[in-house]
Amino acid sequence: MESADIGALHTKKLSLWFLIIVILVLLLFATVVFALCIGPVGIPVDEIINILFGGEASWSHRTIILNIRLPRVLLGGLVGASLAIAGAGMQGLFRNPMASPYVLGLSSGAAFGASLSIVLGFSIVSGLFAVPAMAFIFSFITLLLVYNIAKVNGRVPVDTLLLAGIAIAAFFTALVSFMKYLAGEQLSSIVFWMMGGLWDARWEFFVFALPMVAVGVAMILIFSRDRSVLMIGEEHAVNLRINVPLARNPVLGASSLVTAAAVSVSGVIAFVGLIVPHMMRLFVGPDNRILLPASCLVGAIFMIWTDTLARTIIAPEELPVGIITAILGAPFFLFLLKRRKGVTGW
Amino acid sequence: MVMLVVQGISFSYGSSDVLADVSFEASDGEIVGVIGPNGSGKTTLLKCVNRALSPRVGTVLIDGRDYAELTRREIAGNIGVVPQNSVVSFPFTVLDIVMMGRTPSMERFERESEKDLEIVKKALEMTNVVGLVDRTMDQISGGEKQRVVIARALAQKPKILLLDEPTLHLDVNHQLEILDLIRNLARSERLTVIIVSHDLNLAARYCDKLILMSSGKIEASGRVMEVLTEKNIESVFRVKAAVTYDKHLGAYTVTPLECCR
Repeated sequence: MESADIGALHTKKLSLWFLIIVILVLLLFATVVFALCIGPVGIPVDEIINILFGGEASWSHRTIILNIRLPRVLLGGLVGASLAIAGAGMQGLFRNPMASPYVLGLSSGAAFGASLSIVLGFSIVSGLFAVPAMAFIFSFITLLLVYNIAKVNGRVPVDTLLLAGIAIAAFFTALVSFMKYLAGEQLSSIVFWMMGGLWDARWEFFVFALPMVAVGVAMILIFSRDRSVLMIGEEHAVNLRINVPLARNPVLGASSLVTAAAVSVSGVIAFVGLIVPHMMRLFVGPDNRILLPASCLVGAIFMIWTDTLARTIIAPEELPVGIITAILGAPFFLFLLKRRKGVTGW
Repeated sequence: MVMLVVQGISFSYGSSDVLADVSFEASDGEIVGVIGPNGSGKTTLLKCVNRALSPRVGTVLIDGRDYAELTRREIAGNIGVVPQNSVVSFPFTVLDIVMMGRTPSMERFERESEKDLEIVKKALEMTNVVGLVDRTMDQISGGEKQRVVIARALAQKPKILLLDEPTLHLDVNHQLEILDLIRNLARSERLTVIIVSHDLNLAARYCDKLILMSSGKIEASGRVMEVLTEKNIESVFRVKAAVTYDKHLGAYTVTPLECCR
């Protein structure tokens, strides 16, 4: 093979990456527009476009879109993007296909915080943010606990981190069970919160989560190349002069930040963070530089569609979206898994 | 020309000394084998030379410069490493893996330049893996993987190449293939090569110089015939062995006979 071919192969890879991102961005936009059309009141696509970009539209439709559907769709997209990129980040970090955004027990901590607020009415703020604030604070308390327990002589071995996460998660899950036992009439609220859903979606929640997710995603993406090298082994990374703690710790923090932000506004939505990165790894390969942004975009698309289904499938009632993500996601994922026979690794 | 000077380095994990006052030199185009029993400090020595670990005392001079004064990037541009567990199972392509060798010389968001691609291409050619560039690491054999990891080390444009057990897990054909490749690289590129090996026969056959280690110290060093004596093997490995010169091979061979009681 000639030199030009190596260059061509490299250019081809970069153009493919660019193309994938462009297509996914377009798909995300289309998803947002179509999801806005769907609901108890059907609103045509052209009117949606008018409303979004300041054209002619009826007042009632404008209100439905801007006050009800848009915050919900955008929040869904944000939550899906957060869980997917945090999952991809954690899987790369732990070099473990079982890792999900919840691997450090953040969701259990969040559930305990939420249940404190739901059952005992105990929260640092009152009103709209009573539950999200507690969920957010407790997921961060969980992270700090797990991280400090796993720290040995200033180093944080990843397997100790995983085990500490499992133990702390078990502890908080037990506390949540205790809160459920005490809950009485509030029991269904806790159960629904833990299934995950976006029925409380509001602009306030979107505005609360957006800056954290933006900062977190940026931090995760900045260290993509280092982490790709880290994936093939810590020793290799050291030899290639990767600063291992610098490639690892900010991503751990950032993944936890976006997860905490997502969980606090939507509850514990299962499966998205586990499955979307795996799906994308099958399509785009293991390189973090494409895997992470692609997971992020597909997470958003996947979440918006499943949430649209959740709010329409048994309308006027709605299902917790966590149920749909697992019911649809698991078989689709298994289908992909069986199809790529003969490929080892993950 | 002397490329690598190791002067009196010691290293300890906690309170136990793993390396004590180790010194040696290696020139360009020279292959130095580091042999010794398990736990004698071979890998630690390699890591100290690579500055993955910092020796407690002593210095390492690379091309006449103290490596404590070199930046990470300069060390990466001088020393390429093939670690022991170099089997990569993620479906990265061969080109991806070799391209990673350029990482140390690039800024965080910099794209690979024409020059980088040229260097990568040369590394692929030298290790004869050009035909594999678009294959993924899980689709190629153990010997091919090892050549790819060597290509990645070469893509750093090093003057010194460190290899930790490069023939481990390879069949006899691929063992010879890898070591022939390394010897050719040492001669044609004037690389200084340090190989850690458990295979005394391959070390005897391919290395210009041997360093025999025992409990963190250098027990013997020098030419193969001076180091691989029956007496040395017995005292360091606790094994009675017969060392003979094989005329067909033009090298010494070691036949272990029995463990010493």
